[in-house]
Amino acid sequence: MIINDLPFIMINCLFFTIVIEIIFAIILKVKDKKDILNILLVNVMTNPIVVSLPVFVNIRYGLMQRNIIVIILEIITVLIEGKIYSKYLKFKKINPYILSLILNLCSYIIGDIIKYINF
Amino acid sequence: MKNKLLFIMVLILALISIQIAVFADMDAPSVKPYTATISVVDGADYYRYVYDETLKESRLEKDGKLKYGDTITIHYEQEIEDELYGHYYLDEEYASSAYYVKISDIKVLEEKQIELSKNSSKVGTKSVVLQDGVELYKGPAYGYEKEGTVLKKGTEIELYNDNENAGNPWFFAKTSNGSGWICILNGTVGIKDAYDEYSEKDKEIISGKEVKVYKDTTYTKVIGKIPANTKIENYLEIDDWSWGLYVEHNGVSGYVRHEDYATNMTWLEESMEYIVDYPAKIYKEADLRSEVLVDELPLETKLEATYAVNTKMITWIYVTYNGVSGWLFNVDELLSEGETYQDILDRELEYYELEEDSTEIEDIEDEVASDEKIENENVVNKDLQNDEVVANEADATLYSISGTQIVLICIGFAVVLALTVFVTIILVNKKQK
Repeated sequence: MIINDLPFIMINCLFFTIVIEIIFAIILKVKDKKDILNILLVNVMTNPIVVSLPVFVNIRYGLMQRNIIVIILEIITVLIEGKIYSKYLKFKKINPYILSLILNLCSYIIGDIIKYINF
Repeated sequence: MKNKLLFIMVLILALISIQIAVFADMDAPSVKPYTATISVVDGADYYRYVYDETLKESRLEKDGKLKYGDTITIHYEQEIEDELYGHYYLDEEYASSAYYVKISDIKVLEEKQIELSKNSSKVGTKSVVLQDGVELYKGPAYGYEKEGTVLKKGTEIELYNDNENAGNPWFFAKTSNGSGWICILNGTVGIKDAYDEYSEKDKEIISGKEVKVYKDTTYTKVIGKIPANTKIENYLEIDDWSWGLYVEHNGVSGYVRHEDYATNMTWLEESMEYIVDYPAKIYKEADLRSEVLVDELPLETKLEATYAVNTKMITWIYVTYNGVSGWLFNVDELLSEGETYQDILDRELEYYELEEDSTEIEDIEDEVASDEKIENENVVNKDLQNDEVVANEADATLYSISGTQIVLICIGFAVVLALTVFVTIILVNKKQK
């Protein structure tokens, strides 16, 4: 990775995260437009930090620490997003924290598949 | 629901296929990837290529520091300005461009010698070390420890290609003093019958025109010339990256460039019969500008051709007529409708003029490029001198931001964005209520 490309990588990751999570939200029958908007905004809030911070940790401390940070950040992200979903989403069929976990898992796994196919 | 799912699957597949990127950076020959650790207590600098707009070239620039004990996976090794570097990815997940670390700053985790796998085959009928001081290693990369054996020029070795390690310049060598891995780049090793190990007889080659012999595979210093029509028996093939041959002739031993031997040297395994059907001449060399030995061959003359050379435009064949041996060019494949023998002659002569012009143009372009570089350096220096803002080294870094700084800026932006969006979420949802 060229460090100079990090902004583009962040935009790329954000775009695909939003697309994947919205698609799976629709599959899970999230229909309300407002709910979709909240899902979008929540990802704009969390995704850039989750992408950029591990890069810094890797440069400073190494791959192992970077992987630990990724896990911690993903857990925090699930909890924060779950909290926001519980407060603002009209969709109540699935527990908001479970919803957050499912959506984040989907975007994480599909993201990994995309990287694996590329390289 | 099923249709929805199908549509979504197709969409995801489409998204995945858009992501396919070209695996870049194949400048350096690859090695079998190996894991290494940073062995320098103070840490090791890592570098990346940066394009300099002013100088119009890429150069290696320090980008950060790896800590002692950090592990990385080396995929390529490359010599840059007399220093060996290993190429790795800062983050294996995003592997797309190269970062470089000095080989001297790393240590391979695997300490014991890597053995030749069962899936290996001997290369050529004979292999010879062509340079002094060639060393053997414990594994197929410079990152491994040296085995301890140093080979002299002229040493005969047995070379084995490990098919599990194919596609890179590392082979397994067995010598009378020991065995280990050897890098055959830069014409280090010459191989007889490298691509035809089942050949029963050595093929000799002949030069159609004068061919230059170079000191090494940079092909910059000429140490001798092989005259036209010289048959050479002592030649060895060298690595694909250097692209040439190693020849010995009249006491001169050196390297011949691929473009020279591909167009000016040839060999034929079997002779062929040729019937003259145009007013052909026999030339001393495979070159229309050379001396004419036989001015016009009678039509229907049968000749035995023993060699053929493909120059840029035409094929020359080596024939003997009435005791005179020389080159005749084969026009059969070239005559298109309405073209005559003379048209082909004219085309070939035009090509010779272009060849001479392009050599001149290349020289001029090199001069111009060199002048421009000097001029640009002067402009940059002048700007720096006149610029009062650049008061000290810290200010000078405005012109180049380090990698770490870019990451910190991105993190800062991400934090600001997060806070802004958080407020936005609250406001958007508050309005609705």
